[in-house]
Amino acid sequence: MSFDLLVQALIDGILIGGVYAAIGLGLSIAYGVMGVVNWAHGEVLMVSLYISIYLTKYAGFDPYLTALVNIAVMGAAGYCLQKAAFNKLINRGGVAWRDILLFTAGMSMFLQALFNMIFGAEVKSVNTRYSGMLQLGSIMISKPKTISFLLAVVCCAGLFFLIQKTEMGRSLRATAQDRNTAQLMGINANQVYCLCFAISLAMVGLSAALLTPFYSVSPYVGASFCFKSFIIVALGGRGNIPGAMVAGVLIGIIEKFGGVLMGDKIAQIIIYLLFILILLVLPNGLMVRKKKG
Amino acid sequence: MKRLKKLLAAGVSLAMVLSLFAGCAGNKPGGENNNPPSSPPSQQGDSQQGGQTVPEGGTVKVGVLLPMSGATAYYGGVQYDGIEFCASYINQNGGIKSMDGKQIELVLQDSASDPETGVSAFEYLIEQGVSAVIGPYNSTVAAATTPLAIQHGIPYVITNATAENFMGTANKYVYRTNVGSTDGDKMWEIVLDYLSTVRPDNPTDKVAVVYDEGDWGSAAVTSWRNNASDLGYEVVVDEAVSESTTDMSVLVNKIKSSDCDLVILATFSAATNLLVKQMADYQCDAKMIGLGGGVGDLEFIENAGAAAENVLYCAPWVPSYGGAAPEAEALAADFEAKYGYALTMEPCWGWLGMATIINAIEAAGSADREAIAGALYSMDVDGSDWALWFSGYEGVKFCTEGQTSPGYGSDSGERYNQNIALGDMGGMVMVQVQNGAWTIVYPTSYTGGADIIVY
Repeated sequence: MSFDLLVQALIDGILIGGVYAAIGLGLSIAYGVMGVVNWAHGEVLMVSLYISIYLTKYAGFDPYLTALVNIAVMGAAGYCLQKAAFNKLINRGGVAWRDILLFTAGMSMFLQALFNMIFGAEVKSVNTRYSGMLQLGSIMISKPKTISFLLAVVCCAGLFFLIQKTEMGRSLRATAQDRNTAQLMGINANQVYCLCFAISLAMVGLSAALLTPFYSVSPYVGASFCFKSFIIVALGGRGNIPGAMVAGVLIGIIEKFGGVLMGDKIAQIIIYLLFILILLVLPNGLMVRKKKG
Repeated sequence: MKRLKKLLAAGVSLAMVLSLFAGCAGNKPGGENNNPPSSPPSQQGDSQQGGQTVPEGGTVKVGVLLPMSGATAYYGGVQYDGIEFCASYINQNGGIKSMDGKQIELVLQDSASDPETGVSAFEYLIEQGVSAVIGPYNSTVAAATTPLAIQHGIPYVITNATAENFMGTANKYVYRTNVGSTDGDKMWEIVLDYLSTVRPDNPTDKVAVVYDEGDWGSAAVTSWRNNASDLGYEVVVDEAVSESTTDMSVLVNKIKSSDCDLVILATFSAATNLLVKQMADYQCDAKMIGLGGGVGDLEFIENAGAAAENVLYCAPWVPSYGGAAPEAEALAADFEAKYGYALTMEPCWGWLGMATIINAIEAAGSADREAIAGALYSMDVDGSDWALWFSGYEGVKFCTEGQTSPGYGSDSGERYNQNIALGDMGGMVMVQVQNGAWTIVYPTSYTGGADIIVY
């Protein structure tokens, strides 16, 4: 096993891990603020990938600029979905998380079937001007993955700023901590939830644009990203943006190191095993500090 | 976090339950349901088991079990096109002549690319009173459903599923028209010998084997790999990949550092696309040769772009490679006009399987399952038969007495009812992407004797 191969795996793991983090962050934000899990998270990514790939292929868009369209479309879809459906499920009482889980599970299958019907089950991808490698000695660094990684970091940092430093972010955090008290303080919790789900889906839309230069899409592509997102939520802690970044990169590195040392299949098993262990041992994720006293 | 555990557990359970329901729907590509599970059982198709007579009706029902959803939905969809095209060809040309022109009626069920759903779908087809079943594309689904065919006496013509593990039982109901995974061994010997002759100063000796983790991928490479060292090849990389793999950079770098000459690929669309593109990105100059799956996709060249150039494909012969009978050429054009794409392996193998069932019904002169099984058992047609218009085999004749080889699925190394009229190359040719299009490069009888391969 050459040292170069391990260094190469480390770099590849960090780069792809950044994109995983951006994908997982959408799920993490929705779960962190509202306590609900969007089972159709992967299928939303799939829809966004179709938008990005078709805009790039047939409308001549730059693949990264399709992020603007995706953010607008998915953000609006998230806002409307929350307002028209999820808020109603939450406000009518009962076990809202279960109802939303069932709703999104149905939505996931609906989207798979719909896109299979419209686009067929075949794989689609696009060849863009973002290709090639930066070469550092024997180490090669993918240009499109580097761009995607940097954009993912910038966007996650921007989202962190939004949540930590703006009035809207404070409302989100307050509602996440205690919805009833936040409402007593004059925060419109329903509106906050709509914004939260809009941000969640917008992040997925953005992530699809980051994947477009080097990944393909089919109606069934969502599942593997959805599971990785669940692991990011568990590792990073719900709603924890730096935690999601660290978790994404960690998954990328484990995947690549494991791939070099033991093969891809065993690397995937290790990631799922880690997920189970984290749930058992560190149920709030890797990044949660212990309270003093 | 307690809630997260509950959510995950509930979600997984729900997905499993819902997937079972999803698999019951027989949706055709385009979303059209041919025979939804909610429709009442056919009045003429009373469920008969144990090979009893199916009551005669206005049509002869043939069940089609294919993946219309799930990971291999694309392949199921295009294979169905070939089956439907074959049935409509016969229906438009007078139907089953020995049965006063009775029409063929297809009853489609979706296996969802999943063995358990495939079993439910197969049982549904039995209840519908079909006279025979064709399918199921996936080897895993074939392994789960062939025992049902034998138990209930249903003539079952296997298409595409190439694993050998479900062909090990002596019976008169389950038949396979296309090659099995071990039938490719001879073809590999011929092809790799040829590749070495192309560059005698640097013959191919180090190979990487990359295959899908499912039955097809494993079966496609296992037999050859087991004999590789005897044949003089060193397998320097040997990895299974998943169709849901999101990045192949590690594998590509392993291949690159192994200094291998050739990568043998038995992977499906997404994995193939990803690997071929990343091989080019990382400037890995090993040549790639595919065994079907992803390289055989209609959009492979378009998706992979410049990275597809010079990729090789051991492809089942299809009419567009030349040398087709005039009727076949005309029908291939009709197919393209009807479905919007040129014939590829899956529809061609679908045609072969369906035509074989039709030939058996014609010979039996009856929709009776036992009679049809008997006709399949004694079938012996040559390469000029209409059933073989879209394949490169020498005929259809099943090894009902069994064949023995260490590569076969049963404990005793036997297999039964495999089509043995396949020819040395197993109906295959080698094509290569040259200037953005598939070009036939071997056998050189297609190239006027010239070595036009880029290798």
